[in-house]
Amino acid sequence: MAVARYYFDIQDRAQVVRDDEGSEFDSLDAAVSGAARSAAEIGTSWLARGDFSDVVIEVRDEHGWRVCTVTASMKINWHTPQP
Amino acid sequence: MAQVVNASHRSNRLLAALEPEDFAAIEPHLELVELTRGQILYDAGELISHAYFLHNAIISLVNIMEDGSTNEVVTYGREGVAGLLSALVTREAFGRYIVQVAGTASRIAFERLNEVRITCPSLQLLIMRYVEAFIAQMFQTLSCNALHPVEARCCRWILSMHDRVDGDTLPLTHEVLAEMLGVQRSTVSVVARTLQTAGLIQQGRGTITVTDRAGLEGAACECYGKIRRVYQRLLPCTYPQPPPK
Repeated sequence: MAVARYYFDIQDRAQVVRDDEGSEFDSLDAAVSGAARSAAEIGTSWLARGDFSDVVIEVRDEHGWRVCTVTASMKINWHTPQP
Repeated sequence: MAQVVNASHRSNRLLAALEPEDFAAIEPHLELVELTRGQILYDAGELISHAYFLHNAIISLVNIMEDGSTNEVVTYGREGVAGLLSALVTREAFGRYIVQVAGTASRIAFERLNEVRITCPSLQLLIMRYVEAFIAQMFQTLSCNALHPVEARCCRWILSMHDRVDGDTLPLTHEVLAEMLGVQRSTVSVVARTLQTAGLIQQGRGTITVTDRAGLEGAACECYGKIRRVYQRLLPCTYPQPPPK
C-alpha cells in the first residue's frame, strides 16, 4: 500500500483541534495505530494534571473522508463509598 | 579580515572562555563552517572526523530505534562542542548528529584537538568540566524522558532552544518537535495549542515564538533549571543567559 497522508482532528474539551497539516503513514493500519498512540500520550499528559477526560481523535484521509474515531478513556469504578 | 574570523570562533562560549595563549594554540586548526538546517553531520556508526564548536547553529544528537521512532538525547549550542565526548575510543557516532537550526560553527579535526589538549592543561581542564556538565545533562534528561509528562518536557525543550538562538522565534515544526520528544505529531499539536492558549507561545508557520518565558519556565519540569544550574556552576559564563525581559 502506498504512503498516504492522514489528518487527526482532536476533541479538546468542547472544541475540536483541526489538523490541517496531516502526517504520512505507510498504511491505514499504521495511521490508526498512530492515532491510538497519540490518544494515549495526550491522555497521560492530561492525567498528570489530574484531568481524567476522554481523548477523542477523528481520523480523516486525504479526500477528507472520516475513516474512524479513536477514543482513549479512563474509567474508575469505586468499590466502597467515597469518603 | 583575519580578525573577523577570529571573532566568529570566539562566539562559541567554550572557545571564548579560553585564555588568549590557549586559544592561540587551537586557533590555527579551527575551520569556520556553515551548517544548513537538516544537515546530518554523522549518522549512527559513522566515524567522527571533526568536533564542532557551535556559534549560532544548534545540533541535536538523536537516537533512532529499529522501528524508526526517534528521541533526542542531547542538544548542542554555543555553550558546547558536538562530536567530542561520546566516541572517545572507537570514534563511531552513537546516533545521528543533525543540524536543527542553521548557522556557523568552528570545527577542528579530532586528532588536532587531541594534540592541542595534551599541551594545554587549561584547555584540558575546560574540556573535563564540560564532560561533567554534559554527563549531568544526560543523567537529568534520561530521567526526564522516563518520568515527566510530554507537556513539561516540551516546555523544557523549547526553553533550551530559546537559550541558544538569537531572538524569540524558533524555526520549529510540530513534526520535528515530535521526533525530538519521541511522541506522535498530533500529541505535539495538542500540547502546543495548550501552551498557546495559556499565552506562553505563539505558533506560526513552522515557527514557535516564545511570548512568556517565565510562564514557560513555570510549566517546565525541574529538569530545565537543574541542567542550566549545572552548566552555570561548572562552566560559568558559557551557558547562554536568558534574554533580558
